[in-house]
Amino acid sequence: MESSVHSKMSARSRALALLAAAAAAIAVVPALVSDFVLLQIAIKSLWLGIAGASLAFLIGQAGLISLAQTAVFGVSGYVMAILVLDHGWGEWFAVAVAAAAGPIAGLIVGVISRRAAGLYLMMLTLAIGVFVFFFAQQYQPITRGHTGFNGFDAPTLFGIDLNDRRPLFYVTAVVAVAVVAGFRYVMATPAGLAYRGLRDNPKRLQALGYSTEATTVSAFAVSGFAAGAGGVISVWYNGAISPGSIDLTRTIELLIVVMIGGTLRIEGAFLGALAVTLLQNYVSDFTNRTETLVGAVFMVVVLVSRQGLTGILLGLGSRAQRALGWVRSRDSTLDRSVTDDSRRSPEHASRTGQHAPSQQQARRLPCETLERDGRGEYSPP
Amino acid sequence: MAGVALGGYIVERSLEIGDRSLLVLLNGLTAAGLYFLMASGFTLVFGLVRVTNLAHGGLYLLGGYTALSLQRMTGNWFIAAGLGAVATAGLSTVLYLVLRRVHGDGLPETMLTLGAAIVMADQALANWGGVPSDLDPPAALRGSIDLPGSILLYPKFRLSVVAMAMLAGLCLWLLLYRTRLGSTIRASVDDRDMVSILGIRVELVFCTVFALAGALAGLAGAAGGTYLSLAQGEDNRILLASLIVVIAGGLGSIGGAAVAAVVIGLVEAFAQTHHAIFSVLITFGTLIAILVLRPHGIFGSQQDERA
Repeated sequence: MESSVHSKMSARSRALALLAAAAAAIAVVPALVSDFVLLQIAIKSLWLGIAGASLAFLIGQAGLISLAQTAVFGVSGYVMAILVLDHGWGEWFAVAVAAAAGPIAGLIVGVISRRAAGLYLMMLTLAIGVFVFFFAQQYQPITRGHTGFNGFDAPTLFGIDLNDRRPLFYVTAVVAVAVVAGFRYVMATPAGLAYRGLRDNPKRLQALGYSTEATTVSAFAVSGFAAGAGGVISVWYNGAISPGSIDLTRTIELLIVVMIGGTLRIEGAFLGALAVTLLQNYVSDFTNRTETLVGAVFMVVVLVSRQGLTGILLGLGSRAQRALGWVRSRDSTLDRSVTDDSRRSPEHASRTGQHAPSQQQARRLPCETLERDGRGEYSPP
Repeated sequence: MAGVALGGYIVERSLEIGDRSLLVLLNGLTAAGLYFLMASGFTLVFGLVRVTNLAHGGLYLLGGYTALSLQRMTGNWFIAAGLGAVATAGLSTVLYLVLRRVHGDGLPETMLTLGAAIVMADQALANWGGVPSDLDPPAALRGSIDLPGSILLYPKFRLSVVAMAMLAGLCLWLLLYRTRLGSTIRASVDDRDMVSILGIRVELVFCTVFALAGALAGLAGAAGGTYLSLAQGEDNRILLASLIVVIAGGLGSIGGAAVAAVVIGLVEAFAQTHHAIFSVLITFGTLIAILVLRPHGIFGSQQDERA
């Protein structure tokens, strides 16, 4: 009992420390970097990361590889643009509706694909994503067709114009922190455990009395919040939205962001977004073949580690910890699973690499037994 | 069932409309021919290696462009298309050798093919530029023919795409059901481990299938590059079309791919003629409807989804 209280306390203080670090970083970054970097790299990778986080949540937590997240992202962006530019709504009302459109669109995607899994899910969501793309491109009366919406001005917040770099950076960063905090909160709830159950062993989840369909639908809906927020901010950032913002190339880009970042942690999406944004901005100085490079880097990351940059970093981190003698047996499991994941199932790697649910939850929730039970390949420390 | 009913409805509507019905039918069949060339290789690879080869569209585009360059050099469509198919077969084999390095449940492999697709599309843009271009049809297939009853003039080459697809389908059937290699492939689809235990080098079988699928995609590229055109984004379009066909037909089923190619080709041609604005929505709507009703495709079974 005492130990669980203790672990709860330390988890909370760790979360507060992380929050403080994030706040410090947000405060310092605009002072350190040039205006160009702030706009082209920092803000871009933040909103791309927000959208990526929604996909990282789906893939990393619920094991649902969706190619419809750009569609959800696009629905929110389009809703805002349509309400403001075609219907003359107040900007913040439109933002509120657009933000609500994200989870609703996610819910619809979830309902359509609630029974699919694995590759079938990937293809069904691809079809949904492309459907939305073509709807945007072809249904002119509502979406203005091919050209989409241009000249969208970001709103003012408390008298500060969000078209300026710094305010936009602060707002985007705050939303990013909120998205990460929100996802971490969900991950710690019983629903979060159910998502991991869906990822690791859906049949057993069902046997325990959970509905896999309801779990899938709710995972899509939850991820829709972040995708919608990303969509809204991208429209502020670009001042425009068109079918080109949600086409297959963008869908693939988002997946690349998430896979390069790694899905062990939600934060990985921001790392991946930063990496891709840096590549796209700076490699173009040397060569026009940016896409070739992005594709090649992506392939190398998939070949080297299935957990992307976060996996590599976590592996290095715990190796360093072990070298310094800080490590306890539990952490070494994490290290093994992260670095040796090529020989193991991806579930296993992410299962043990997950921010470990506390023992207390294990006793409370039958679903936790999923994470303990092996298929012969689980080796306790 | 739903697909067949839908196909029936479309044929019926087409017949009602009368004069344009034959055109719709032929356009649909031509598209179906192209889709089958793509989808058969795709579905074969999936059935065998559990990889959704998202680089299949890239192979199509590169095959088409290679054939284009070769045709400009040699002036012969058949040599160009043949060598283009050989080139994509080689490329597909290289892709397999890369995919071999990850042993997963199909997802990391699929991610790798996604990376390869992006590299291929960008390289096509780098080498052949962004201006749409197309191959000249071979001399014998140039121009149009009068269809019996002279109701319609229809391009010869388009008709020969249908013939080409049927020929490819026949060859595939002969290969799969009348040769030793074919029975090995079919056995590997059913139980890869058992085939391996019997002393057959499964890796070699996989490699062959990848090469075969690459060749089919390259051939489709040459055919599509002749009657449509080669351009940026064409790889994604054809990949999506063949994905739709493969999913609708049931992953891994070549017969399903053939039926679905015809259904989707006809739906698309019908929609393009009668509801041009919504054509793609109708096609995708058909797919989503099929998947909602039958999550494993028309001919797919629950067993197809071996985790």
